[in-house]
Amino acid sequence: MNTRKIVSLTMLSSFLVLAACGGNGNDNSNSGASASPSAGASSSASASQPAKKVELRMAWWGSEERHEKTLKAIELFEQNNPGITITGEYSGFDGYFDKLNTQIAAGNAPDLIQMGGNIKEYAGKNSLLDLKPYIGQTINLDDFTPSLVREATVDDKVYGVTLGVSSSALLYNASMFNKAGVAVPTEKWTYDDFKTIVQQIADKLGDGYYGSYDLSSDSATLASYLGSVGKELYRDGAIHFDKQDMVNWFTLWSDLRKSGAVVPAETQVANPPTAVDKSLIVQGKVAIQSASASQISGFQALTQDQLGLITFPNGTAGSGMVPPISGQFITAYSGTKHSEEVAKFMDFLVNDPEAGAILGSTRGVPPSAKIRDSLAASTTATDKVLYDYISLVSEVAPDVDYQQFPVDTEFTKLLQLTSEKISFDVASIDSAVDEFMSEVNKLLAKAQ
Amino acid sequence: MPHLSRIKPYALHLLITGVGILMLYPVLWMIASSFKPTTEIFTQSGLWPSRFTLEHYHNGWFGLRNIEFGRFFVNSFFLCVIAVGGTVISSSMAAFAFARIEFPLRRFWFALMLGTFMLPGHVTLIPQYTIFHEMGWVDTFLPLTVPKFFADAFYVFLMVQFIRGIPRELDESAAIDGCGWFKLYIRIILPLALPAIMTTAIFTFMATWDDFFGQLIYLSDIKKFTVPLGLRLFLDSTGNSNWGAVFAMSVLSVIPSFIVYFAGQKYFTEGIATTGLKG
Repeated sequence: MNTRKIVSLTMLSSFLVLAACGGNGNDNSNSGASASPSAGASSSASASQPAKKVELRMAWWGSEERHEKTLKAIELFEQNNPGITITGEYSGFDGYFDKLNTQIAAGNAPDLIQMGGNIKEYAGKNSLLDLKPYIGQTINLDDFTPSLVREATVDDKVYGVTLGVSSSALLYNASMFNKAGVAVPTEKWTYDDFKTIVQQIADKLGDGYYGSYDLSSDSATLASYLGSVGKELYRDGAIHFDKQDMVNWFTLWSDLRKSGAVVPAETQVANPPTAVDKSLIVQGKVAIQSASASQISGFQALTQDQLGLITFPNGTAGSGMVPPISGQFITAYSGTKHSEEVAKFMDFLVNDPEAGAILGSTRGVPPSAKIRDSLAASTTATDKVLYDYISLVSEVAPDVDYQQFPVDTEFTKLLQLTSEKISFDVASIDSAVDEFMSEVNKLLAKAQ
Repeated sequence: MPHLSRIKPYALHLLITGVGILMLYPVLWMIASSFKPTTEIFTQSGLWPSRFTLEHYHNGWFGLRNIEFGRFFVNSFFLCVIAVGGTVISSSMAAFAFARIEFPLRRFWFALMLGTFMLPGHVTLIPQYTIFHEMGWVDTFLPLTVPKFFADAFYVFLMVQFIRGIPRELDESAAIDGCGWFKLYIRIILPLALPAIMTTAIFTFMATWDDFFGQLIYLSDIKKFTVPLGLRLFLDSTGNSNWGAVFAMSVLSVIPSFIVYFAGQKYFTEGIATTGLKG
């Protein structure tokens, strides 16, 4: 009797809750529908009476700052182009590509898709639209470094427009240069200049101060060094340097280490330059380290010293700088029905000064030189240094199609290991390099 | 010796408390981090913040453009209530039929039903998405609610096991008193299967509340986002994430699960014990 009552009560109440929420749900979907962009679009469209009404969807991942800025840019575009509405489909990074894969499989992918380094994978699956017919027409890429376009090119078809770039760099502590009375280098400096400068700084500032970190373990610096002597780290499945190049490389650093110009091995391991909170640049004890250019804001935030960015030194064959690389692309779904409008929006994202001002560097440094220049005038001092540096690299870097070492992480580890063997005096340069060369070839064989 | 026997229960308690705290630590860490200034979250290892701040709660709740986090809670609750109601009603009916009614090929259908839950979700994902897309249901709540009214193999199995344990004599005497199949289901079986039903309800609630992937795939408009999707809006593993807001909103999102679990705990453990299910 008693239990029966309870049960009928629970049943009753659960049905009531269900019914109530069912009603709620209907209300939700009704109000949702009336407030949805399509309704808004029809009212604004009827106001300006354009020929047709186009609805686009754009997917991107990010954190709330990027969501906010991208939505603002979309609103601006919609104001300038009555009749086109763009619905943002944004999320965090988790599951972004899983969702995209499902949508592509069902033929329901968004018209505009933010992509990362995996752009070629999707281009290979024929999921992306070839933008070549629009480049030079709707999409203007004149202010882009050619290498940025090549990064999105597969089989002579262009699948994406770069939204943000970054570049490797030497990060220096300008205040230490001042203190030592040494002039800050220009992009024309050579490896001989580098040796002189770091030696001077270490000598002038005394014990515990160094001109530079030991960069023999840094693959970005090595890649640029090889380029500057007319060699290449990697191209088309093979290395393009020999044992002598590596011996020269490690000897350069070994000499500097012995003369006290660069950080000794123990200190380097205890205070790795990659950790912002441990870097001796921030503490004003080392004047130069290697970094990704965009890291400067993180480093600068932790110190009163003035930091700057400079290109890697020149060698016998000139500059070995790697051109700025794309962080992210905007791509179009191959099944889009409105490719002209999609192209228009892509051009707006990268070339419109107002959009540039809204987006800032939320996806990396803007790829267009003009936008960078206009932003540099109004931005913070640190961002200005960054923008100017990217422009500088775009100018001095030779226009080569840089290819990254295929098993990059393992290569970096191998280089680090070899460097430490030498700096801790476990092996001679000659034997360490011999082993390095054979290990590199093993890595290449593995990558095939 | 008498000392030892007196100490023993205390020692045991101490051990259990210690292990309990160890297991709770990640949760405590999350709660503590939600009150810490951003710069301290990953640099300070201690739990106690040097300065209490509620900014993460404010930023998390109001930080998104055009929408408050509360909307995600409303959407999640809506999905959960429909899912729990739908699953309980449809699964219990199916279970009753399998356990009590003789119909042609009953064993075959039962085996077929069990077969559906051996099928991994990834296999059915894309065909299912395609079907819902063709029906125009993508970016609505329908793909996430309607299937719940068609029973879930796992819960049917769980309830069949439970109903089989209810004496058939009760059915017979009810039939003598004039009960038909439906009355038998409503009046006799349902009330007695309450522990199994509560277990189903709690499992379904938890699964729906924590479901990320299904909701991610089918919902695109931010106004329809649920709590798990809302939390991920702050997270970009390739760039910068607003960890403070993530932790603050995670703390809030755990609360409903806590309440539901503790409120239904009595039935829940009973249901698991009597169905022989090892949770």
